[in-house]
Amino acid sequence: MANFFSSQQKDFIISILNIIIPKSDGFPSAGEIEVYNHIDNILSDSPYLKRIFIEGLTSIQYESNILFKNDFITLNDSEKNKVLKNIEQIKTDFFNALILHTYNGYYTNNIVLNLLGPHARPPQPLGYDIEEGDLSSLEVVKSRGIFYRIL
Amino acid sequence: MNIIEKKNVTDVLVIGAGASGAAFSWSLAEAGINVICLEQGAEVNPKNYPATKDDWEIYKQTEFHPDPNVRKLSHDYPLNNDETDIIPVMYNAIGGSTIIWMAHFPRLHPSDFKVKSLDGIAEDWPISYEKLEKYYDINDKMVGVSGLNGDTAYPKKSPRTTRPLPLGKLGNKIVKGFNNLGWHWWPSDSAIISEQYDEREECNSAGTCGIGCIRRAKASADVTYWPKALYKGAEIYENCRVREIIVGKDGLATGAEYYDENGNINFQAARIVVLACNGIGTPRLLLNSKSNLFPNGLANSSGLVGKNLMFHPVTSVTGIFDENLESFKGPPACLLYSHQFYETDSSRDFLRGFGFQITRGVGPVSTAIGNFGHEKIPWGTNHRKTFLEHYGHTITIGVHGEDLPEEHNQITLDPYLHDSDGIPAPKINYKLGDNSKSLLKYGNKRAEELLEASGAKNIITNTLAPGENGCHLMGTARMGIKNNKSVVNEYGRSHDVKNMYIIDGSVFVTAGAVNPTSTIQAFALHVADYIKNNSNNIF
Repeated sequence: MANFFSSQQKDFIISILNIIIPKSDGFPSAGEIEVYNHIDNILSDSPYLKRIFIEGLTSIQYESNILFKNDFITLNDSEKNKVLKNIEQIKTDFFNALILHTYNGYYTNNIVLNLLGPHARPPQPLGYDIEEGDLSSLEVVKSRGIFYRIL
Repeated sequence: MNIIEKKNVTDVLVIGAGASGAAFSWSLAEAGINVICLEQGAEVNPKNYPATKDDWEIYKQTEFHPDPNVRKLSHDYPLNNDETDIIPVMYNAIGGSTIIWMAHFPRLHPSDFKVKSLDGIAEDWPISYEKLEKYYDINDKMVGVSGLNGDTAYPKKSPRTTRPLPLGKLGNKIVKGFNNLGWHWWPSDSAIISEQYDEREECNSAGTCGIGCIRRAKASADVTYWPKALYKGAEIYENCRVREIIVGKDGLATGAEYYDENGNINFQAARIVVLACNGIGTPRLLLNSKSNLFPNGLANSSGLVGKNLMFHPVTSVTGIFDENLESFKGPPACLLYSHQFYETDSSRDFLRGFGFQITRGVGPVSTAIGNFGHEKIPWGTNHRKTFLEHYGHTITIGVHGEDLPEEHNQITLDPYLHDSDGIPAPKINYKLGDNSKSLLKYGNKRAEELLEASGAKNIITNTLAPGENGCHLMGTARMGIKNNKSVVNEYGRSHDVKNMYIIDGSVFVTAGAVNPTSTIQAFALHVADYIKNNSNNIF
């Protein structure tokens, strides 16, 4: 198991994940499931991601203190949203990577897939049943005759 | 470094084991002609495709990403994409880009071969639809094409191999829109079998075409042509990257030098050399094959090697529907299409036309991150609501425009960028033309009209995204009758190097507005027949 982040950083990151995908409609927030571990693993394999995450996370703390004079983790959800919206504008590469890997971790998690329904599973080897469709509606197309350009 | 010279002289040396190289090699091997194929990628095993894993969609962002600059596998070569409006995509393996393609398999129209005569632009092809028709038919049989005969947008075709792929709920939805508007539509010709065929399993609608098909239902060249070609004696040398085609003092090709998987340079002699490296790899290799006889690159007396690069400019328009259409089910790109706006219409402000390729939805990850024509789902308090409105509820229309050949759109060699063997990499210069911009703008409006007529509650129109749209690589060594206006003749034979042929999308004179693989393979079979029929005076 990778452990790029310290336990203190873990709480900080989970508080960010809870804002990116909040808990609602019977679904967990991104911070409540294993998304944190997914991101930690991804970063462990990528020096580039490590660098931009360190810079980006530092920027979040800095922006929190500039805007609200408190650490990010102590802010209410509305304040956290405002901080992240600012970071989205000024740290584009970091924020895009944060969103990508949050979504990747969240929508490959078994808890989420089960909640999305019986079809949200690895598509193979079972595949899916699918309606054949009604080809009788082609009759109107056929009735209009040849459609290609005659040379 | 010493060059290891292979002792055998093969009849035909094919460079590239993708769609065209496979079809061509099979045809010659069937006739007892010795064929060796050099492929820089390796064999892939369908059993190892990741479609059975929970994180299967993430593989589309990594080792199955269509852009080699992102994928960065050891056998990929880099591309300089700094000055292109469209990012090219490709895959290097036995089977080439058909490993990750979406397998939509239309033919060109008869009119596509006569663009200059009909519409006064570009050039006519030196061959006709009628000339290629026999090879389209052979190819369809080899590949296995699901579809439905009787399409009013085409001349009569040979019987489709299997019935059409299922329309599903979203197909039933969109055809109502087409019929409300009185527009043409037809179930796609798909290189994906809907019933068992040729010892391959039928498609089970998993929708994982982009990461390889574990059932071999999708007709990638490694499961269609290559097993038969190898059985007949053709050979493939995998992990072998060609650096140069060698010519003798007489101006004929003698073979090719290539790096093997251990980094050794080898020379393989051949009586005929055939390039099947795609519309970027082929001009790259020709431009890298300079010599005293050919100082501007091999077969380049016309100066057209690398020029007239065509993609197919594509935009996407997505409709969100109230009903759950289960749109993540089924092969994403193979559903149905429309050629209502395929031909030139003088009332519009552009020449030529476009097709609609109706596509299915995507899985949860791709829905969230915005893939395959979908927009990214916002983070924050609206995330859940927006995700659930989209997932399974979308129909996306690909507006698939005809690109026109323009010389300034071109492949050159980058002076600084190299692959892992030190071979200069291609640089792509491509600007979307004014005709394409007008065409796509008009096409987007018609697509919105169609989605409205189908009952979409919300419509999202994406302009040409600087993303991975460039799956069709064409025009960079085009065919023609005149030496100064083309690189090869109607049989793919170089005007300058009489024992060298090109059989990939490079030879396309114009692009049409349809996916090119069916035509690429038909042309490869046509060239193979020419070589077989003239073997007495060619070898």
